[in-house]
Amino acid sequence: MEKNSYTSYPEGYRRLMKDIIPFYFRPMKEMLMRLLLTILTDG
Amino acid sequence: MNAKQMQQSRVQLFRDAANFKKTERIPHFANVVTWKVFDAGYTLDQAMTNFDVMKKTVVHFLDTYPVDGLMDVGIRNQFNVTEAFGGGGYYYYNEEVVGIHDHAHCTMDTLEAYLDDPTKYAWEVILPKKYGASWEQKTKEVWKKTFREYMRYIMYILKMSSLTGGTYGLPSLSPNNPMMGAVVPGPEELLSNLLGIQQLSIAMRRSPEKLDHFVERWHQERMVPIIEKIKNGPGPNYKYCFDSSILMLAHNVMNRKQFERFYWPHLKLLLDAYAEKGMNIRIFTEGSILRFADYFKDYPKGVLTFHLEQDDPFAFREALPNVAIMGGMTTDLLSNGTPEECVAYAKRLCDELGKDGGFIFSENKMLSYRNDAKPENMLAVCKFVNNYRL
Repeated sequence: MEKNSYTSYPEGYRRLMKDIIPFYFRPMKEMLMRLLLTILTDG
Repeated sequence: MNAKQMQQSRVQLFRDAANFKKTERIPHFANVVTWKVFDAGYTLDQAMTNFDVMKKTVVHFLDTYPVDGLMDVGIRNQFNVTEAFGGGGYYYYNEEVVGIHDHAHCTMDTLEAYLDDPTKYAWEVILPKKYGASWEQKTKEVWKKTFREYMRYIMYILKMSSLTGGTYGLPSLSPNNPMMGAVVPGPEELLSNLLGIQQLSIAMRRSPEKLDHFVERWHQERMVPIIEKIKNGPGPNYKYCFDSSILMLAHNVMNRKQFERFYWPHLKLLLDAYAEKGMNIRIFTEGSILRFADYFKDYPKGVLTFHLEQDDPFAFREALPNVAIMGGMTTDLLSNGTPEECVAYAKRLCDELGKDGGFIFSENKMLSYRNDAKPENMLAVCKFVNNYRL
C-alpha cells in the first residue's frame, strides 16, 4: 500500500509543498501551507 | 445608497457607537452562526460541506432579517478540508449539532518544543498523534485532494465576502481574517489548543513557573511584533467596524491572582498600544468578565467594546461606564419569549444603554442551534432595532 512519504521535517514538508501547490500559487506557498496546517491541526 | 455607500455608513455607525457618540439609531451586529441553516429549512449535515447550500442559508437570512452586520457569513467551518483529508478532526457535526472536543496539542513538557518551531512540532508531533495510524496512509493523492478542497474553501470565503459586502452592504467586523491571522493572547492558545481546559487548570497550580515562561515567550515572539506594528501604524482603519477583535475565554478558569499573573500584564500592553493610537477594539468576553471589571476601568471611552455573553449588561454598564457594550439580547428570551416580550427588552436595551452612544445591539450567545431563537422573535427584534429612532 502506498504510504505517506512526506512525514519527515523539513524535507518531507518542503517536498509536499512542491508536489501539491500549483506553480501559480508558489509565491504564497509558505502562507498557504501555514493556514492549511492550522486547519488540519486545530480543526 | 448603493452597497458600497451602505457599507461605509454602517462602519461609521458602528464606530460612532463604539466611540460613545450619540447615533440616530442603534446598529445591530447579528451574532448568528449556524442557526441560519435551520431557519432556511436545512439541517447542519446538508450545509456544512456544501457551499451552495451554505450560501443559500446566508442569502435567506439577509433577505429576511434587516441587520447591519453578520458574525458568520457561512465560512466558519472547514469540514470539506478535514473530510478530504480523511476526517478525524476535533470539530464534529450531525443533523442538529456542531461542536468541538476538548483537545491538547502539548503537555507542560513539550510547550517549549512547540514554541521553538511550531511547524516542525505540528508535523512531527500533532498530526501523527491526531490522525493515528491513518497519518501513514496520507498519500500524495490524499494531499492533493485536500489542497483542492482547501483552495475551494478560500475561493468560497472571497465569494461570500463579495456577496455580503457588494450586494448587501454589510461591513466586515475586523481585519482578523484567516489570511491575516488573529490576535490571540497566550492563555487563549493554551486553553483552546495547546493544553486544553484540564491541563491548563492543573498547570496554573502545579507548574506556574513553566506557564510564566510560556506566556512571556509567547508575548515576546508573537505579541511584541503586533504591538510594534500597531504603534508604528496609521491608527484606525475605517474599512472595518473594529480595528481588532479578540476572544477571551481563558479568564473563566482563572481566579484574580492567576489572571493577574498569567493574563493581564501582557493583555494590558496590547490594549495600551491600541489606546495610544485611538483604535476601537472588540473583545468577545465568553462566559463572564464582570469580576475582572476593575482592570479595564482606566481606558478612555472609545477604546474598548465588550461583547458580553453571560454578564448582565446593565450591571456591566454600572461597573464600567467607559467600555462600550455589544450584545444584550439573550438567547433565553429569543427562544422562550414572545415577540412582544423580546421587543420590549430590546427597547429597554436601546433606551438605557444606547441613548448616549456606547451600545451595539447583538445577541449574547452565538446563535448556533435550532432552538436558540424562534424565527418570529428574531424577525420582530431585527425590525424593531432597525426602525427604532432614539
